[in-house]
Amino acid sequence: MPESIQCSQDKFQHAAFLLTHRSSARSSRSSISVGGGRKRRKSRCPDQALRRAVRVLDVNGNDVTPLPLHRSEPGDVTSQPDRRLLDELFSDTESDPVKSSSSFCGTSGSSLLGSSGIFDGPSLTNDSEHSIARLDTSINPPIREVQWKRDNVKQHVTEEKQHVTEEKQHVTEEKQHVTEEKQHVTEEKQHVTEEKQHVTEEKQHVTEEKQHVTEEKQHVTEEKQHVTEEKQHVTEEMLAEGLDTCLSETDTISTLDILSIFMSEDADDAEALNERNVKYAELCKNRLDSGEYRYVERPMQTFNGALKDKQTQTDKMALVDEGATASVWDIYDSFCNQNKTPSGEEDVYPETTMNTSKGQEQRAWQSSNCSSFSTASTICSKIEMEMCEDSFNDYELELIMSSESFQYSLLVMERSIVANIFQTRVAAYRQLPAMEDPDSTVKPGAEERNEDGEESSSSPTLEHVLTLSCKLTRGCNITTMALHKKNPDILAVGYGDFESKNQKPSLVCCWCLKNPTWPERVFNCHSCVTSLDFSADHPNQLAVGMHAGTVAIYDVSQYNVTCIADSSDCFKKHVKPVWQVNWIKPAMTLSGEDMDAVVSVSEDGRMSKWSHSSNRFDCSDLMNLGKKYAKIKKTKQVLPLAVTSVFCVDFHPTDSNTYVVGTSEGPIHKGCVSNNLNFLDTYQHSLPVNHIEWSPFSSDVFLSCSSARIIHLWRKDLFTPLLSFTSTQMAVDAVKWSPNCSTIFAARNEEQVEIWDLNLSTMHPTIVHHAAAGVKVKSLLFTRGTDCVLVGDTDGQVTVYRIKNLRVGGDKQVDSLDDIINSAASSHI
Amino acid sequence: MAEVEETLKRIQGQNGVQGIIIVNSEGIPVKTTLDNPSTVQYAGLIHQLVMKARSTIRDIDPQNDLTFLRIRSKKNEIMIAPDKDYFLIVIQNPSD
Repeated sequence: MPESIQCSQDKFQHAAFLLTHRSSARSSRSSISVGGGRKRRKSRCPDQALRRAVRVLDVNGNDVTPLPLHRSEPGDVTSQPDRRLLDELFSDTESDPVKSSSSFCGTSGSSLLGSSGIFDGPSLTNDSEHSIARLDTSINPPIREVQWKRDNVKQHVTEEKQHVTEEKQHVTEEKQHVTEEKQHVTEEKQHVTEEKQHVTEEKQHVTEEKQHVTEEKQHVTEEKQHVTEEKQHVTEEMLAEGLDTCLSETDTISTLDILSIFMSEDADDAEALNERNVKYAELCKNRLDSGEYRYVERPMQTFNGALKDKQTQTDKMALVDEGATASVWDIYDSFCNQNKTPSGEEDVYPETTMNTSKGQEQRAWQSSNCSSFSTASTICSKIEMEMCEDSFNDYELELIMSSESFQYSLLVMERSIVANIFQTRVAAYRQLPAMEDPDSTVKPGAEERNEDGEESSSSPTLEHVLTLSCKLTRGCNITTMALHKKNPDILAVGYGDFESKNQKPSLVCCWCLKNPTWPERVFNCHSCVTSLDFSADHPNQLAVGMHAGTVAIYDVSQYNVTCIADSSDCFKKHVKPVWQVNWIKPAMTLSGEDMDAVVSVSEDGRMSKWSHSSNRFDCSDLMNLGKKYAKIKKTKQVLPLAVTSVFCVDFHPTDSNTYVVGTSEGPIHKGCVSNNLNFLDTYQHSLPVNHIEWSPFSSDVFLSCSSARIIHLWRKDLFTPLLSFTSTQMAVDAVKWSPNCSTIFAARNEEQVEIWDLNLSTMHPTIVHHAAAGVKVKSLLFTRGTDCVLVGDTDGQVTVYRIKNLRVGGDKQVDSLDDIINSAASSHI
Repeated sequence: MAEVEETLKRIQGQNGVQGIIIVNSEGIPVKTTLDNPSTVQYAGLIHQLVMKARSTIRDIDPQNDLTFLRIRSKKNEIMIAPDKDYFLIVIQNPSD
């Protein structure tokens, strides 16, 4: 229905004009004010004729052409009802207040208000054009009514005009309706609500109900008028009742909704549309230029909010630059710490405040890793400041110095320092080439070497290398020495004087040959030490035999030497001096013990084996030479012999079951551990045996030395000595085989040290070294691994001598000794 | 403690030892036998050097660590025993 649409569009266009030019917003859509003056109405006269000829059909094909006003009379307020209605709809307060219009305003307003409920439905359900049409029509009757009423006053003049027949009919009809309804005022008042309901029901029947609606509107308006008239009658009752007022928000009423139309350019109506658009554009232009009276511009002002300054203040964000360098070990440390922290946290808490300082130090340690040179200078300045904090430093110093690692560092440091001092000599001891110090101003080695060079042209001699002495031991008499079984650098030295009358406690020092200035371990024994021996199985255990007869075992592994066992409480202890202690490895014993035990030999003639089990330190006699009863066959009497004291014992190097003992009587006995009653063999000897030792190379041979100034070489199956050596007039105190060469042994007496080499000569010692003036040689020991000899003297000094220019035998060590022996044996026999 | 003191005394009494400095982990000397300016100088410089040396060793193998450092110069030898909590520095002139 293009025509209809167009028509409505015309209407809307005009409405749009009105809308745009009436800039005032009307809050209440339902209120109407009759606007526009007659001028406007007149201007629209020609248009109205146009429109009148047009029929408006709605969507369903119903004729909804707005009913024109009954007649248009000159000077009347009837022209263009639609437009005027539109005016009235959308006009603003600028319109000339017309009395009739004002009253109409009131009534129409009231009617609209009243009918808003009624016409809510229809106005909404229909589309907008319909609603407006409806409004048009709805307003029409009241206007007409008013006008009609007004005209009634004038009455019969205006009715007779050249109007449309339809209008006349309507008027007549309505007249009749009005007359009828007047009679039924009170009844219809009650039916208002019902009619309202009817109206709502009749929503769907638009065309049929249209007239009814219009009639009802008349009813309503009449009734309202009646109501207002009857107000006085009802107020009392009504006040008592209480009215229920229900306020509800009406649905959104679109007063204007013009949808834009899109039309393709090829459509038929495109041209018409274009024309209209052009016309509109021209009108817009013209608006500005000419038709000022038509359009009113009205400016608006909005309130600007007052501006207010507000200031806030925040703390300054301190920015700190921090940098770190992730080095390889830093990453490794963090990774390790990350893994350790779950377990390490438990240890942190119970520690005292000492740990916090450590933690700080550790953090300082880590943080200082990225220190640059600039930081170093700040550290220096900081150092100067902090040097005055003595108390804190003292505490920290104590902390440091009590730590174990510090003590170890001290040890290493001391040895390094000493090594610096004694470097040449230690190198000589270890048979290393002496490195010349390239930067030293003094050349100490040169002088010595010159001297030595002159001396040792080619003859074998003992060269002084080192001296182990310190102020502790100065002046003490060395009684015995023993080398550590595992570490050949460790030497235990016993200092003591058992020949003097007063028994003063003696000293045992463990030296390390790396540091000849101070012993590593120092401890005291209550009695004079006569014998020392390191254990082989427990390398830190040192067996000590004392002059008082005590046998003790000490543990020298820690700086504080502890005594593991002491025989003072044992009731079977020796009461006479213990002359020698030995660790032996027991052969298969019944008890199955595998650890080595101490065997002590004492002056009371007993040879006891000590076993250390749990707390007891007990001994069992291996051999008792104490009381020997000579059996005299003749008289069958047992006569006690003099007590023979045992001076020395040596166990066979391979067969720990057999041993040889040297006694004070003279005979050397070979015994067996398992047999503690009888000796296996006895070797003829007349004088006390001071020392006895098996050869480490040949298992059949042993040496003995005695106070008779003779050294004997025995073979175990011969009961007379194989070889005898004598060189001095003094008693030979000790004789030791060299561990390096099978044919070399050393012997000492108080004046000198003799080195015998059987290869070279069996008559004379190869090297004779006299002791220094004023001292006597008291102890002799061969070192292992190097061809050096340790000599202890009465001055408390242990001197290390190197055997020079002595040809050491080749590979066939045993053979060479055997050869000698065989030759000797053959010559002997 | 007493033996530590003794050992320090012994070291001090060794031939050619010019001075002993014990420095804590922050580089501040806590005990010294030298005069103050020398001590401060030694402590600061050696601290850096030990850091660098340790860093070098550990960069090569993070499981390794520096145990002892000896610097031999024309006139003397500086021996440093570094640790997590301290440095022990001894200056010695071994030709004396």
